[in-house]
Amino acid sequence: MNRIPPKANSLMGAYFELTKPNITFLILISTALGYYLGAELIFGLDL
Amino acid sequence: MITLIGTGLVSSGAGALNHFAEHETDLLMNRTQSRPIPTGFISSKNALNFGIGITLLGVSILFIFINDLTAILAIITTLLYLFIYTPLKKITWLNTSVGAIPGAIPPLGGWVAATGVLAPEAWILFAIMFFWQHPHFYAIAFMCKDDYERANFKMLPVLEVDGKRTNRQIIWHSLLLIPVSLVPSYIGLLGMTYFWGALVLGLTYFISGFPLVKNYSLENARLLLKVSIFYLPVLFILIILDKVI
Repeated sequence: MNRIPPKANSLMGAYFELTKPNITFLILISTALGYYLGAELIFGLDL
Repeated sequence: MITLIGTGLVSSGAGALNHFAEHETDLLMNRTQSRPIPTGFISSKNALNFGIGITLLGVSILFIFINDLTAILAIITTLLYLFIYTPLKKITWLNTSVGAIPGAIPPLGGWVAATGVLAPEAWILFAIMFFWQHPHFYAIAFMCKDDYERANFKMLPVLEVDGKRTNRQIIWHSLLLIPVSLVPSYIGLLGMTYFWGALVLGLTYFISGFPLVKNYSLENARLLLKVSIFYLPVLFILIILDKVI
């Protein structure tokens, strides 16, 4: 089978791609939201 | 900030370990064959070491600097994702629902990091994420069904021609998402700005599944996917807006 050219063009870029950045970003946003609401409810923190 | 660093490392590590676990099937799919391992850019061994390393680092950060329960949730999420959801993709179409569990745990992790306890209110966020993911991932599965078929992934759109069951899943989950997403207002966690915004968003998401039900086509799956991608960040913005207004 022919090798497909990699999407990443540097080793660092390839490792970054391994981390599934889109999914990780969504996870971070939803974690931050949970953190904010939890803190707000329990401690009454404002933004 | 430390919560996000720890969670980000665990999530990134789980992603790398998933690349490792699926590198052979990735080679069979157009969507994934240009990934770092199938192209030989990174060896599977290096990906495995990288994944284990940053996952352990992330879990350690959560254990040491945040609290035990947040770290345990991160471990459970990673284990469910790698050892239940990933192999289940080759066994049953229910993998989508099982995969939606680790996908819905992150807001619980954030809540627990802030408070140290898993309060009932936190589970509402879990439920919103759980229901939201179904139409989103069924739309993706429909769009990538040729790829999934080649990789022998038992995604629902691969297993049926007419799409009746897929459509039922999409409609029911997007319909149930509407009342679930309104619960934060019922219980006083959020106010009326959120309520009306979430209602309009939920109805939009629900209605965006109708064209696919009527005409099981790539174009209509793409429409549903677009609305699903729009839904979540706007819902999050509504939550923040509701709190600051």
